[in-house]
Amino acid sequence: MMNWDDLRGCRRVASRRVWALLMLAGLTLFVVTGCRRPANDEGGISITESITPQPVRARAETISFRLTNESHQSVAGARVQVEGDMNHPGMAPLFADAHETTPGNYQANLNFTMGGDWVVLFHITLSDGRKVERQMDVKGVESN
Amino acid sequence: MTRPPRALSPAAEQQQLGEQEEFLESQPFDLLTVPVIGPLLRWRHSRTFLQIPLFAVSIVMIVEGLAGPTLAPKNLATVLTWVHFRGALVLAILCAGNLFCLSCPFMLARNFMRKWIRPRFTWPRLLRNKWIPIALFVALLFCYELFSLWSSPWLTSWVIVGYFAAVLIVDSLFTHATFCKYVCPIGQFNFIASTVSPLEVAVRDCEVCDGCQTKDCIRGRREPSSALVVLQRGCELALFQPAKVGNMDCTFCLDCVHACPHDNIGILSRLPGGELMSDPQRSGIGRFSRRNDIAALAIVFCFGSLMNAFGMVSPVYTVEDWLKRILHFQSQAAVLGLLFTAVVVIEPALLLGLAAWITHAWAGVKSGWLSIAVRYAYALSPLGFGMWLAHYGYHFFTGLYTIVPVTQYAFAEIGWPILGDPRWTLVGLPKTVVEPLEFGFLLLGLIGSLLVAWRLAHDDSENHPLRAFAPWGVLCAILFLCCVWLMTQPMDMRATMLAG
Repeated sequence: MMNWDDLRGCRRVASRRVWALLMLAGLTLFVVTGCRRPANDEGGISITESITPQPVRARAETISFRLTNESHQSVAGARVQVEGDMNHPGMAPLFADAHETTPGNYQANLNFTMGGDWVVLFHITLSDGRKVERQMDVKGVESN
Repeated sequence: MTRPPRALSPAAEQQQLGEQEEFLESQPFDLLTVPVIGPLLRWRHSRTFLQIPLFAVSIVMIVEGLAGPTLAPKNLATVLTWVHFRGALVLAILCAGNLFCLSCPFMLARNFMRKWIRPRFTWPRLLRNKWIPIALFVALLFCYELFSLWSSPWLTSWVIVGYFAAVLIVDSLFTHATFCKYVCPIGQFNFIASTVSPLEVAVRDCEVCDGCQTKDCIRGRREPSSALVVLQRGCELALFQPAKVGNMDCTFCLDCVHACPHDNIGILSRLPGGELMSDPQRSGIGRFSRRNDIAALAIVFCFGSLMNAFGMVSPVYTVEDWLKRILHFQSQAAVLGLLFTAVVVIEPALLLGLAAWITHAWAGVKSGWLSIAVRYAYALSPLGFGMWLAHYGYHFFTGLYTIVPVTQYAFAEIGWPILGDPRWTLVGLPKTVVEPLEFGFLLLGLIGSLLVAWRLAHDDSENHPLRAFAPWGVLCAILFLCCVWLMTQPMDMRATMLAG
């Protein structure tokens, strides 16, 4: 029959196991943190972008950008969808299709609905069907 | 054939009406008697049953925050935490009571841990107050602004992880519900907010308690053959039901409901905010008027709501730039710290001090100005809650449906697009619907605060109740106007730390 000392001993062992489990959970979290998806760098496509007029305000703004490949040549004939996201969750994303003004140069109009920090995503489909995504931070859009 | 109703004399009709009113007053609505909900809540494992889904969601949020999309509007951790959870929490408090504490996922982990680890220590007497959670609450609000927690799924996840860690550490060392009562900043927010809830866990019939010998609601129900074996624990927050008043410190855990051998505890309706209008001796708390710490909590709760909203509108950046310029500050933390000190410490000290002094001098209230300030500080709770409701309700309603595309996106990201392509056009209710709600919440808060202040003033100064009330009425009106001004400002959410 189990006496009090045995019971205490069992509890001590169980307690160590719980602490070991907690530490394992912590370790798993660190591993998960290290397992973040790498940024999509497919295609060696670079983007050079600008927004006019400056300063950027909460209104319709024009985003101009140029796509180049790894040998710095313009990338023409791409289909680009521009997406604007507020940095706060729960806000509606904005979408606009870009049009090619000259080979490799594109333009889209995005209507920033509020002030604050925005992130603009470029969803690019190259003429050969490959898909690339690029990101631009638009900080401090001024309220009207 | 139905018999026509018998005509009553006016006196008899009056008497019948009086009896009906008396009956309604003596028989408040009891949530535990509602079909389905009542039996579910009375089930011994009801709390665990409610905690498990929230615990599962917490784990999903942690993993998604650490390994999911880095953009806050596309990550479940940020969307659920800063849009849905906060909004649902305040709306639940408004419509029912402290339901979040009831289904708290942190307590599930803690209860599981306590199956193996028995805490040995009691919380130091010196710390048995609300000063630590008040400091943590202010620190949480400060970090929210400084590190723009809303914009970082990664940091949001770590806040949740930190919370789990804190609960497990504190409650593995200290007995009873130490974390809930003396540490948890969310809990304190819920406690002070639920003083204006329409429901409370309370005794159904006081006479039954008068005859009770075992006091199981606080001691716990014991094995008849061995008093050391606890079959059902009693209140871990030291709230003795017959002497409990209101919702302060009540986590709605329903331990008392399960422990009571007479089935004499219910979730009863009451006048929202009514517990703020009087100052009885409260079990586990004492008198509100002698609890400077809880009064400070009410003040931080109210002024913190203003600061939290102020950090989200355009003028805050103008003020920050101005402060940086005149004080030659480079550090964002220093500027924000100064703003917090001004709004959460200096401003309430000046306003409440002045109002208390006027009450003392003009209305002839005998107490010292600090006692008056402490007593009337609780009157700010309804207005503060109105502001939290307006703020969190705005994000909740305007982003209500965003959970749909974000969940679709999360499934698609793990290569399992069973919910289809994300429908990013699903956002929430239009602002034209939400804005009147916001102002309605604020107005309700103002009315609540004015009623509480009036009732306190009436009790304090029978000869000059209006004089005692006037300074607090003006203070509430000023704060209300500040809230309205804040709500009419354009939203401007910048990740200040990132912007440098």
